[in-house]
Amino acid sequence: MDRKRSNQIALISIRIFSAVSIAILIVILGYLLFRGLRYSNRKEIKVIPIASINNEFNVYANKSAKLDYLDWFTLQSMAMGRVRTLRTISKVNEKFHLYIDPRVSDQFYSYLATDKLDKFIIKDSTAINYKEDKGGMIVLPITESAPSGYRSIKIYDNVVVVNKEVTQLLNNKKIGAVTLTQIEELKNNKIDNWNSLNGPSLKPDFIANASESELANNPGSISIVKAKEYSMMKNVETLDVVNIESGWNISLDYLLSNSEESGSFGGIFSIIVNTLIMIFLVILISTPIGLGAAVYLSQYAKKGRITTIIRSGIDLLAGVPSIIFGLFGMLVFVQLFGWSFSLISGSLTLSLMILPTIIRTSEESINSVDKNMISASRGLGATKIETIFKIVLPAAKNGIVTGIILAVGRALGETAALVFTIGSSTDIASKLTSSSRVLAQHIYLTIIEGQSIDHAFSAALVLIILELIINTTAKKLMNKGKKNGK
Amino acid sequence: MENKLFNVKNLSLWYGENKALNDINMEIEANKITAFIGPSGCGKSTFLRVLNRMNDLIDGVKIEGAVDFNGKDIFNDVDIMNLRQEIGMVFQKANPFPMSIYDNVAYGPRLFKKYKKAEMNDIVERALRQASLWDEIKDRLTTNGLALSGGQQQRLCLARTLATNPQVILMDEPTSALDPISTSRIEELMIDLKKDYSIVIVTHNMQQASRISDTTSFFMIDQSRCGFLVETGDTKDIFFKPRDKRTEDYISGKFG
Repeated sequence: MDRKRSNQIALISIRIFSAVSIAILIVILGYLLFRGLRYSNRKEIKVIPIASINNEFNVYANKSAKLDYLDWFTLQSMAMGRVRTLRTISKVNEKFHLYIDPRVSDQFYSYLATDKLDKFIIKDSTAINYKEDKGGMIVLPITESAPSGYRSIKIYDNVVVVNKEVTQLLNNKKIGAVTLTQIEELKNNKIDNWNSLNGPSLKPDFIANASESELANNPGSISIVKAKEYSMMKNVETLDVVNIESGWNISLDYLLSNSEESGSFGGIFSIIVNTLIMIFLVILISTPIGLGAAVYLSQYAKKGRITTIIRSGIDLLAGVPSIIFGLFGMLVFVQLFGWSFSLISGSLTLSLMILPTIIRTSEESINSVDKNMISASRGLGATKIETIFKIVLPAAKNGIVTGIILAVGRALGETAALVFTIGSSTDIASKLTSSSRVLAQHIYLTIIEGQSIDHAFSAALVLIILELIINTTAKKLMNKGKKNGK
Repeated sequence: MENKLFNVKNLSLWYGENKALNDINMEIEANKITAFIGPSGCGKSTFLRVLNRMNDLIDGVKIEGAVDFNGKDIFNDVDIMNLRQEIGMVFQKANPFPMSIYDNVAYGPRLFKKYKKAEMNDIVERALRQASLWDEIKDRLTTNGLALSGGQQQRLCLARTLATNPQVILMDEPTSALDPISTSRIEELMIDLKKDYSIVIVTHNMQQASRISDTTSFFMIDQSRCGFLVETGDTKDIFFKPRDKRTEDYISGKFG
């Protein structure tokens, strides 16, 4: 093969590999960004997610309740007094209160097909501060406009009902939830057999506004009825409908409010603050120690067996998995020193973990300082220590700062070293010995405890942005330093 | 006798096990330019570095013999920091500190005393004028010393040395990395500075030695790669009627 050809092949493969790696990076970053910014969850609900028009009353909910829609069944249990908080309904942890205008109370309860509950009907509307009630929901006549701070809630009340045979378990197969498109197709008789939807081998038969007997006697029959009508039917089954809920995952509110119930609700303000405190502590502890060790090793230590052993020990520690530092931290700081799971135990553990990196990178950049400069300084009468502080360290500054930043970046993303040491309290740490949690660990804990994948992703986005800010500030500082004399 | 600056007696030097200088005896006079010449590796730079004890920075260096500076033994009677302030050094490679021109020059004086701003400005200006750099850079004293050209950097290093007001300036091949024009400027400077300072220069450039120096010492290397001094004399004598055959051979280019 001639050289020209092999050059071409080499060039093409280099291009392909670089394109693949760039593509992978873009996909990962894009996905994290997307998942961090937006949530999009597939939910199976009992009603068709299309708002129906009601010409008697409107339902309004406080904006902080973060409610977009309610299905008829939920609304019914709310009106029957079975709902005390909104936590299972929306993503907020607020007490729920229902206020029904007396002018529409009859219509409201008749719509829900239940008996009236007097305790929800407003007697004196001036006595209630609706705006302050974050879990408030008001039912008003259609002629009234929305109270301030409230927004209108869509009510879904159409149910897909089918003959009982359609939902039977057959050969370990059962019809699942249907999508809106599939409902449209069923309506227009475009689906020939239920088995294409994992159901039995029956022909779908759409009957508009079917009665109970029509559905019960007609295998394969399907209809869409109002929930109120369905609640009177006995010998029919419903089909769940797929609803894609999406929205903003991250908001100012989320960034500025404290976490509640281990991250299920609320924001991550306290966790961001704890992370910053921890980073500050880690830098404060590890930088002077690491720099001192680096200066000693590069400038003072005599070449010999002990120095070689120390160096290889440092290299070994730099490669020790962080979980082992976590174990050490637990045994020493948490138990022996009795600082329990606390900010200081975690910060010290992380400081120890990144110390070898700081020592090695600092030592390298100190060693790369021009020896001539050191001779010049000594030749002018400076002592060794003066030379180190006035010439060597300033000249090695960039490398040292870069090393510290890389190490801090590692500490910022660390989880394993913290699970045994820092605790998991979501409050802002009030003192050094109080339990706290930081961003990376918050992601781990929210997933492990099954709190909220959406919250884990938004915390991940914040963590990435934090790393980005730290890295760019460091780069800017370094560039600024270069302009002002390296 | 009163002009005698250095008096070197029976000086030998080892790098670990290797002997690098053997039994050197020499006197260096004040307010003159003394040039050290000789083939590569003959120890002339090492000997130069003995004079302000720069070899102390290297591990495993052992020195025997005595060096008197103004009648005082530099190894025992003199504080090393004061010695280096008295005996400044300019290196082969220009090595300004990565800081402003002003700070470069002020570095030495600041080590020994806290000066007022006006005093320091005077010191910096005087040193830069002596190094004939002032006119070129007086408007940009705050720029980084590394931003200057090679010749300017070397003159900055000279100014930095002059700022501590030394008696002696040791120069270790100061022009070997410079172009001819920059070299001739440094040479002119040395001749100017001779009035106020004593200069000891190591050079590979024989013409340079003959152009500028008053006294020349010729070093050579023996079979065991150990340097020794062949002879010292007036530059004119060394270059035109050397007493030693080896000097004659070296100068006429028969080896080296």
